[in-house]
Amino acid sequence: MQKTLDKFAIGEHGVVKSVGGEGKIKRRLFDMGITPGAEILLRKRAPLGDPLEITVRSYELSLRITEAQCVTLEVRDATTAGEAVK
Amino acid sequence: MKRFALAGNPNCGKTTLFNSLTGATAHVGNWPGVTVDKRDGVYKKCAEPVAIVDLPGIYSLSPYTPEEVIARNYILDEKPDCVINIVDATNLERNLYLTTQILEMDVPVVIALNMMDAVERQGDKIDSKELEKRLGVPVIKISALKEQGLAELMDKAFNESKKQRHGSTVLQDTPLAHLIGDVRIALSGQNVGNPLFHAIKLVEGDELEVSMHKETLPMVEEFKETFEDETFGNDFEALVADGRYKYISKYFAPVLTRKSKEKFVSTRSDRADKVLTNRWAGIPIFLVILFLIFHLTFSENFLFISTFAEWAGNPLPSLGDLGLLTEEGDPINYGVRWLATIYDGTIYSPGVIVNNIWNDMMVGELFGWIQGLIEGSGMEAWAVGLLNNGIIEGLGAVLSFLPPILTLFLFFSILEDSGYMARIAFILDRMFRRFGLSGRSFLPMIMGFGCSVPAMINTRTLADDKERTATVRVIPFFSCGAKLPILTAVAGAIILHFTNGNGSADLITYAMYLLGIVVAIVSVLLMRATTLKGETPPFIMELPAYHAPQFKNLMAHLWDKTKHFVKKAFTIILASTILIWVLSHFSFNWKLLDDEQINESILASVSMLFQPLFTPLGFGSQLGEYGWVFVVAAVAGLIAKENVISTFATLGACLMAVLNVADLGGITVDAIYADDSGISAVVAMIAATNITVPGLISFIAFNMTTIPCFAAVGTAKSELGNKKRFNWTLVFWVVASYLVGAIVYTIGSWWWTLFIWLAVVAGVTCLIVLYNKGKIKIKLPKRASR
Amino acid sequence: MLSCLSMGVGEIILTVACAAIVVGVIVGVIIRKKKGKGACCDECGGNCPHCAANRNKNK
Repeated sequence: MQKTLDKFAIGEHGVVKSVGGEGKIKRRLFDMGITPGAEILLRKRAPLGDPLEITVRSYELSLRITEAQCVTLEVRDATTAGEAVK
Repeated sequence: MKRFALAGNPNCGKTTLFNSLTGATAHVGNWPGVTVDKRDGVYKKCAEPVAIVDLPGIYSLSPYTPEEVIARNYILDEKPDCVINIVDATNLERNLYLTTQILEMDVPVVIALNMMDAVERQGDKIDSKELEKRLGVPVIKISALKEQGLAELMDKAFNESKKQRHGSTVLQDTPLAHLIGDVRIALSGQNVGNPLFHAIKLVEGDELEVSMHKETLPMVEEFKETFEDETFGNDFEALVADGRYKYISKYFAPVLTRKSKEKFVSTRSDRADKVLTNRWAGIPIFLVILFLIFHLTFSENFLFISTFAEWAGNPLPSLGDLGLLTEEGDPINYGVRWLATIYDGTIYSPGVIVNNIWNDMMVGELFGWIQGLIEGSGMEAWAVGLLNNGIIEGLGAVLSFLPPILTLFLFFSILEDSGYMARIAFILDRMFRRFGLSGRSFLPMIMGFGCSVPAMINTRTLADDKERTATVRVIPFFSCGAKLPILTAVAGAIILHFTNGNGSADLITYAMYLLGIVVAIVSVLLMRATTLKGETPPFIMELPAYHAPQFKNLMAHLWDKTKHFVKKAFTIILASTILIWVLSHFSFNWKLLDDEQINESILASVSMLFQPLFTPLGFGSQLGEYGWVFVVAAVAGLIAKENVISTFATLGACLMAVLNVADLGGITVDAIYADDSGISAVVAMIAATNITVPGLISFIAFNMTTIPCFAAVGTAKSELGNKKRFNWTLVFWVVASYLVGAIVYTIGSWWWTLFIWLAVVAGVTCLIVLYNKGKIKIKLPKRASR
Repeated sequence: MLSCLSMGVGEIILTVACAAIVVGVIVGVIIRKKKGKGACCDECGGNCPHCAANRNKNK
């Protein structure tokens, strides 16, 4: 199942399929390691639901819902959590 | 002398390494992007001394932020002899993204694998030898914090710097490899240095490159037309970024073996974070922490123990009750004096205890003794006056504030170094967005509580121009360390003189800081609705792991701050007190005046001219004959905010001998002599002007929001860049402070004026809303563009 | 002007010292401005990339 990052539940994780967004944002997302194939976990949401905190490539990143909407992921469920990173 | 550059991600420990290598003390914070300037130093333990430059923390070498441009241009143009790339081993992949770009330049590179201690603590392992083989450059494990591996690192770097190195890229497996190769050859043909690096950036469509190499661009464009990748189309930027990470994942990431096979491990930092940035408890916890900070620094009723005792019907006995004071109210012996610093019917908070020790036992003693010597020296009266009243009282008043300034600074440093601040920005972002700012603005604003200058410099992390301007403009409203004396002394005056000892110092101070924050919020709202309208910029920010602040670092910060403060005191403030004393003791025809004749002095005459301006604010013509001192104080505050208090102290001390008890609101002349911190002189001066409480609070509010000191003004000018913006900023400060002062004074004195102000606010809000909806057009005179 | 002030040795030293301090500070500030340090804090030793004067020097 595919969905954008902002629709993830806390604790859910997935693999990035595509990254959209306007030039500057896309560039920044790439620089921070959000590229196709990267694994992302949604850690938490701030009070009021925005921004989100995600774990990607072993570190924590915060981004807003509008930015998270640019990232489409394939959801992974718990049973596949043991897969090694590609 | 050879030059090495330190490059790496923000928070990778670069500056810690820099400090260890050079012994200099640069500011080390845990927020992404704090190190925004280059730091220079010298490492002396190699065969020959080596100059070290600490480049700003960057995630990539593309020119999207000023830091990236600075770092990139430094390596390309200044041609350091070696680049030491610090890689944070706890998040290898993202750090290596930058590494792959640095490796594309023709410069010797050495990798410093930092935070190995944290990696080992988690039970993970990194095969650095293997990494070295795959990267093609030396990899040295270090721990900058523990100062391990540094000698080995520097020796390796020194050796590498003797060799020539040509750039290499990880993109050779991508579809762009051929194009890159061709462009590189073309650039080499034009004798461009670092051809590989420039070639790749050109292929990416990097703006700087495109403007620099217009001739080679058509080659790239041509290729683009026929190229089509299945995932990215012809978005070369994306292709390159993706290519890098794919390579990193495949070839470099495997050198890290994790202890746990789980992909998302929860560290100690994560668990702490769960509580501190909890969705519901996060903001309340933050407010409590802030309150605690002020309580620990200013409270004379620590943990409210004495209040509880009163409620319980068992109030704590004062020193007088315990028979420990003489008839005049002095401690009976040296031991009791020490006790008095901690307890007197109430328990003092740590900040206040340190303050008492500093003032009553140390500086106060010293200055009092010096004053006594001077009095007995037989020098002329005017000389004694200049020395004792002018210099010592003035300087003494300012120096007496060193403890609370340092204490506050210490607490904010702890918050900063531990990484908590970045998390707060995360929590507050949504709220900030309501005001048209992003959570990132929070960081520079909090720094403003220390000093406006580094706070304004730190606004460079804000990419959006308008957001930056709005933030720079309100930073002075977050009362800096220099304004603290004003707050404390006036709060003290209010309690001593007006409320007869009731009221708590920390609450008043807290409230005044809050006032600054409120004004800042209102200002930002106004600005974002009118002159600085724009979209809210993106907020993609790393949240570094929490870690306990290093004691050594904290002490280094404190020492730095102390040095600064003392230097400022003995130069600028000293000169100012001398000037003020001179100007207040000579009349226009250069006749030397006695202290009583102060109202005839140059200073007084000139100030009285401007006094009426401040009448709506409560400290203008309505004051008694000494009211003009407020004008002087406010103006002196332009040089350094500490001058506001030193002015009162200097002038107050001169008048002490002249005014009798009645004028000083119950503060006896003896009490003033006995109080060595000079604050009584300040309080006496204030009381002598017949100012009311609303006027006093208005004065504080005015000082909190008016034009900051020259240093801050200069910084604002260079940070804003645009002269027009800067001029408007000055106007903004003047208008804001005048309005705030007037509002506070009128409402404070005649409560019903509140309704008039509300009506004005309602009217202005309507106008703004209508303006934004386009219903009203405002015709501004056309200006020639800058 | 100074004739109306009686001055012994101590007073002369005091006057000279004060004048020196005031003049010294003013001159110091002017020199720093000319050297391009601007009004920044001293933390970077005067060679900061953020100081406008340095910006012009470098680029």
